[in-house]
Amino acid sequence: MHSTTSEPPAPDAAPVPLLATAEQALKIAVVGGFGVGKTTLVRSVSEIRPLNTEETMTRAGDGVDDLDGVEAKRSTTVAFDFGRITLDATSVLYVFGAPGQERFWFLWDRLFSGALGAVVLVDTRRLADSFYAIDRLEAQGTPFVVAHNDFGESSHGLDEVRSALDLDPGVPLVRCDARERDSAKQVLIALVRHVRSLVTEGSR
Amino acid sequence: MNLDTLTWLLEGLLERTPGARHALVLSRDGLKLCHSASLNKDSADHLAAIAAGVQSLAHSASVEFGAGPGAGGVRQAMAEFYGGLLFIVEAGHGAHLAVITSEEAEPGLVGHNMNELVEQMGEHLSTPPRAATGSV
Repeated sequence: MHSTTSEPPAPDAAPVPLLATAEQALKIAVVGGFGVGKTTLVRSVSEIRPLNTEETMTRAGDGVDDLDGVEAKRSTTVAFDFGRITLDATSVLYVFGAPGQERFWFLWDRLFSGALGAVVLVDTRRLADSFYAIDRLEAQGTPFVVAHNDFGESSHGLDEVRSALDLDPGVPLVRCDARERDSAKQVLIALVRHVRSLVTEGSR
Repeated sequence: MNLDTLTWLLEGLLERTPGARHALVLSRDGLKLCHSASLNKDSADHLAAIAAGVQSLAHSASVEFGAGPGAGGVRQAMAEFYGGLLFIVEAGHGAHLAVITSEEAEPGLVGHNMNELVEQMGEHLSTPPRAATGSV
């Protein structure tokens, strides 16, 4: 098959139709380094069949795509992921997952345009991979939260992660397991809360 | 078939296709395998990433709106922009062939020549998946 996934796909739940009452569409970008779990997060939160553009990693990538820490990775996103989740009766989140490797960074501009905010996923095995995403979001003034994807096992305190990333105290940092729907959903909720609080502060 | 032969075949495609400017073979994960001399390394890297993305989105379109998973697939992806055309076809397992032409090129002929070239390259173009390096 053309499209393969690195882990078994979530059981095909019946797609949830868009509520007729939905009037607020909010665009969210999910960014971060290569292999940190962006596709997994979009896949686990989406209530519609997510758009995946994962391709099998080929031998052409030996020496280009560094698999240290993510040795079991078999496929990689070459365009973007897309999913949708209903927040409440009126708000719907459209979640766009960015590709991680440098050769696809040119796509990020389009993904960020019109985005309300972003989630930066980090993996403590490869923290340095997230610097580019954080720098870029700070430079363009897009609100974001950082989510430490610990795959269910936490070996680092959030304080350690915060200081290693040299994160601004105003940026929320949360822990998540991108494979778990509820956990991934909490990350999106943290982002929406953060954006709302920024809006409220700004209007004072 | 070595890289020199592949490159020579790509140059041949450009020669016999009016309006064709660049030709590139890329792996499905977006890395250049070989390309015509008309592309420098940076442009080749960029085109490889673009073509992999376009082709993957085209595949998603075929799954959603085409004959469906298993029965579908992408015959050709094409983009028409001011100043040129981009064509992408599958080229063996795990590889794609991308061609950039001028606006005046004849799409039917470009597609025909690309498919002919893919047949010539045949099995030699396969880009195998990476060997397992960890637990699966």
